[in-house]
Amino acid sequence: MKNSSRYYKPALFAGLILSIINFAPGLNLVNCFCCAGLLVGGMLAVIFYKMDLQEGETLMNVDGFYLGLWTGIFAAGFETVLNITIGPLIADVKFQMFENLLTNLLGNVQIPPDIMEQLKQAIAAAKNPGLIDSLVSFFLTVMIYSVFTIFGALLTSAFIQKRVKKSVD
Amino acid sequence: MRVETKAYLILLSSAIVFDALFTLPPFLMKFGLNASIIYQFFHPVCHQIDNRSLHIFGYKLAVCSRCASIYYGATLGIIIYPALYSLSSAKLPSLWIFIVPLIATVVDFALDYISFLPRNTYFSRMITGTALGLSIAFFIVPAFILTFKDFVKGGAAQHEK
Repeated sequence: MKNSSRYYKPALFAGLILSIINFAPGLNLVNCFCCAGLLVGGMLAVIFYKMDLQEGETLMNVDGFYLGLWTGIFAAGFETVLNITIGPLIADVKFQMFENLLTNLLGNVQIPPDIMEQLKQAIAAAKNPGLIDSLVSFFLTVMIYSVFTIFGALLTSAFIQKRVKKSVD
Repeated sequence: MRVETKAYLILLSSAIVFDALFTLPPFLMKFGLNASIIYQFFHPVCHQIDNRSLHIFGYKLAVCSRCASIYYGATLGIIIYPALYSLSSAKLPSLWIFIVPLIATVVDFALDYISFLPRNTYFSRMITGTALGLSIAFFIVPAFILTFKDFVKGGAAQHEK
């Protein structure tokens, strides 16, 4: 992998934005729609990278792959830090918002007690994040986020190239 | 084996593994095995609400019905792609192929939040999700093949000056 350092800055910014989207109560609901936040994260990385390119340099598909990969890694890292530092402070707000979402999604059906119990356990865990749990969560998040950010970035770079090619033709 | 075929097979097998992974928990739990790590793995990308998920043997999949339909649809799209397009020409289709099912899915998604309209159902979520997944495959396959070709050619080293 050459010029890899050129991917860090756009991926870092995109990862930061993505982690804030995924962490912020309310904003994170965007991922209920087909992981849209994650795909947008990959897309942003490619757009930032393209803005940074010098004249005469071209965006390649392989750039999209690395940008997506790094964005997923950075986003998972930022999110883990946010979960440890700010997570305990806003756990109750998140709980309330998820309860409202559930009530909305289930319509007239009451939230089943086992789901409420799971929610309460999740909130209790969010209030006291352990080191091992946070590490496990980080590694799992890196893997799943990277899949989606890579696809977001790959599709964006392919589309940008298609547009460039069209305008050249 | 041609580069395009290699790339296609890698993508197809990855998609099948991904689908198998979120479908696996009910089978594990049926045999008394623990599947919590798989649920935890998919948790960051799906709400996993029980009433909105497909069940096998009474246990839910690791993603909701809409997500599962999108992923199954995408795998189906990857499978049928070579029957419709040539792998060697690897071109992105018109964006409308993606936009139309996307709009349908957005509308279906919005039904949960617009009180005076009928709510979406398992059926509507699965139909719109599968259509969206299918359409995504027609973009993912050529994008992946082009990227794989870049890798083979030497990738980022070939920035034109």
